[in-house]
Amino acid sequence: MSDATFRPATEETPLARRLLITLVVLGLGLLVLAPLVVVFVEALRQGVGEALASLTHRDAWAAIRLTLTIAAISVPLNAIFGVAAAWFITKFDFRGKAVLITLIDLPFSVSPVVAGLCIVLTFGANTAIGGWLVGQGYPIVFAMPGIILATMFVTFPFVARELIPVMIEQGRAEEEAALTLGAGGWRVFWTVTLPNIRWALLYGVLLCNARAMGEFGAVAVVSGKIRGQTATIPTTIEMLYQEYLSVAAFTLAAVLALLALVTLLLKTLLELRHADQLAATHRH
Amino acid sequence: MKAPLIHRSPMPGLGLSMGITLTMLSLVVLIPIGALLLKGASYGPAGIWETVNRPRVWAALFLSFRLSLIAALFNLVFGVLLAWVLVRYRFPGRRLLDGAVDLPFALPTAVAGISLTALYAPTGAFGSLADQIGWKIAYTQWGILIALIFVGLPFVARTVQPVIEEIEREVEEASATLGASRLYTLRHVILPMLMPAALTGFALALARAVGEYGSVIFIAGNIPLVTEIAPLLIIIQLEEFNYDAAAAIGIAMLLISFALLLAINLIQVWSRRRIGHV
Amino acid sequence: MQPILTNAGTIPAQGPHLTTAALRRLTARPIHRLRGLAAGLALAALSLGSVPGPALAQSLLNVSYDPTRELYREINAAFTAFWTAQGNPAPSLEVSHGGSGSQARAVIDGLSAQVVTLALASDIDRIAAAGRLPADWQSKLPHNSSPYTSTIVFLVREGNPKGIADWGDLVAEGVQVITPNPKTSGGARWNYLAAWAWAEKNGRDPREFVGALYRNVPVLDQGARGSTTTFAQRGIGDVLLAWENEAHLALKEISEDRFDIVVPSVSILAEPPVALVETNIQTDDQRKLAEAYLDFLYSPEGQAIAFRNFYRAWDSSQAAPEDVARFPALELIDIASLGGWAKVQPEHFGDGGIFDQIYVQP
Repeated sequence: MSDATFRPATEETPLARRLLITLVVLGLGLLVLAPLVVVFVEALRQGVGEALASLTHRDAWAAIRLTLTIAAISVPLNAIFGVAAAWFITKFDFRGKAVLITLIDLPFSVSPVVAGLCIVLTFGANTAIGGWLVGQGYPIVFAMPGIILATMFVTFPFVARELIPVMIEQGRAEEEAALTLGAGGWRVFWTVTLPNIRWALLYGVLLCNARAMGEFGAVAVVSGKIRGQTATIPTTIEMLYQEYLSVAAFTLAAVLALLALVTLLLKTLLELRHADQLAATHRH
Repeated sequence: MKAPLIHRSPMPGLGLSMGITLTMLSLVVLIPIGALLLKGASYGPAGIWETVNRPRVWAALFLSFRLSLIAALFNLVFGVLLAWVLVRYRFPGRRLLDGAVDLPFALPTAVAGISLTALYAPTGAFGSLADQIGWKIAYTQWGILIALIFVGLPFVARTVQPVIEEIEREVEEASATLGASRLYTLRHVILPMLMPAALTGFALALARAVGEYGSVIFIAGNIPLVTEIAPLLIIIQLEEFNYDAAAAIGIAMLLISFALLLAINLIQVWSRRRIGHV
Repeated sequence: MQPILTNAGTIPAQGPHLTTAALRRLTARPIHRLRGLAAGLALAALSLGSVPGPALAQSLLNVSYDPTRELYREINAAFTAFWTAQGNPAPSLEVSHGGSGSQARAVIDGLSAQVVTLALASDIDRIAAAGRLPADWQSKLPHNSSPYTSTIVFLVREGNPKGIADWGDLVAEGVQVITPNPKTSGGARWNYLAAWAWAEKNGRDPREFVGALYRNVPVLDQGARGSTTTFAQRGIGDVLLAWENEAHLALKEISEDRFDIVVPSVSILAEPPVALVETNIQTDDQRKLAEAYLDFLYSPEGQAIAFRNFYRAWDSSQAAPEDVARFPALELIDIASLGGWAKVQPEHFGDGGIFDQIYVQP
């Protein structure tokens, strides 16, 4: 480097920067963006018109509606759980904390297929609980509650796992100070904790939502895959692909990817709009 | 001197947060897994051992855990790099990359599997290139590895990212002022701060990879003893209506995963204590 | 010729046993139940658009296996026309597709199918063992309750570069065979048994022959469609063992001129059976609908649709001549001559059975 410009001591050399950026772009490109490109190329293979036409089908709409409904129910529930669990784990000291965290992580290590199996073993028509519920007219498996349970199971740890490291990093000092000043529990949570964790929470909810909409394995086991009734977007995609209707299948997959991109856009917009507000709370 | 179960704390909300945590954990996770364990218990430890202790099952378990470990290690390194680049550097297309990180979550696993296979099969864009140097990717263990890296990619990056954002520049400045080189600062100041979050991400990526079925099944050859993953064995047992054996293999996977996760969480608790957090 | 429905009167009436709660469960359209809960949520406006609920007892769920998607799409349309022409309101016909085994499991675990149309009799036997239909279900409809049959043929690359003519060529050095996993695919079991039957007929040790065949398999997919994709789209393998209807469909849907069909000297008579699931029938009206639906499969019109979808059906009176002429004659061996499913299933495909030993023994 002949043109030795001023470089702050807290930054890497330009060469290292460029190298790292190239590496990251290449890695993400090969592994993640390329499959996405495949999805869109396959969807648009026969033109935009054909792709859009495949979406107007009754079953495609039913699947989109069902998936959105399921996400709208399971994601908020998991968000509430995540905040409660993170609070419990980071604000208190108790024995067995590592075990509890591991139990919360457990759904990640359970193959989605096994997760579906677990729910069938618990609530299937041949089990005690399931048989009783069916007798009362509330079937779980092969109906919406089963799909919601499977989705919640698979996405269970997301929010908690995003919040715990951040809340550990922040410690308890701020909350303790607020308490000393006489603030009540909820007030401390809303005015001190929540502003500190809002981005992590948003990330968590976002990931939870994306995964909830895209879950396939667990849902496939408990849904019965009845078109227009219990077929979610991913199960419908699989069915369409099996029917050699690859344009329709990949269009629906593109819709799912776009839904994820919309939530990401929403997040970015929120960040931009509230940037000054956020900075203000940091300055106090 | 026995430590109390829960230390007294001035923090509010113990009852509420503990209540929600334990109730939902039980309803959504513990009861269904309990049902699985119950199924295993009725089968008996001897039955479970007999099901698991076969060359084909061992081969599948070994394959699943070995490839998952390699994939998670790759994601650990790549994820930290990725998070660092996304938070610290400004370059065109950064927001696009940032969005792309979440894609493995958003794409249904089956779609991911189909797309990856289309790319890496000998007729695909990347597969045909690799084929020219005699490198077969799809339908070999390489293909499984790529699918596992794909599904686990976001975990480390996404858990480390918020922590990097939280790091105060003053820390790095102080280190630089004291004469440390940039590399030294990164290794001995920054990296230890990222480690707990990175380990969390590593654990999640590992666990996710071990259980992954939907995307792997398309790109793996599924040949017994060579490219057959453990979750597939469970499906095979289910197809034979053999719930006992399916539960047995499921339990074996659960136990190994649980042990791995617990070990990682213990390392984390220990490393945090050492660094002085908590 | 047997009458179409020999025993409509002998099926025990199950209706009176059902409590009102059970009735409600069987007719429940569960998606609607949670609407109240969803209403308060942000996406409610989008999610509440209505899925029209059909009138009671005019709905029918047919739980089927993978390669019948095109067939039942056409059957359902034709049956709806037939049913409404008789003065009935239009029925709501639903079909669910998946691997034959997992579909059977779903019915056992409570999926309320009124009609099952699966790949193997042994899968329906399982449902019968769970008490959902009588053990002698297979004698209730003609032709072992199989309204259509198929067989296993070879799909090879255009011009047949490896010169594959019969089963014996599949074990040659350097030939790659694509077939799904018999453990997860009903169709793959027919593939395996066809190879077994050929070896028995030609004085080869069937166990050794089938072992050699599977050692030439580089990819074991989960289902028939997966194998077709691997062979046709991914370019893997020299020969695909396929259902005859799948092979013809692949020619039609993927490409006419990239593949050829090779018919071996001997193959298996695959009989995919259909049945009424007694415990899931809620009203007499629904029973009438379900019975009419199954009978329709045997009607000249239904049989013509099966022919058009590349199945070997029985009654060609209304079928287009070219749909019938498509099928070359070959020697077909039925499952009974191999001992029947009750014997074949555990012996070959059970845990530790002959198929498992292929891979475990050196």
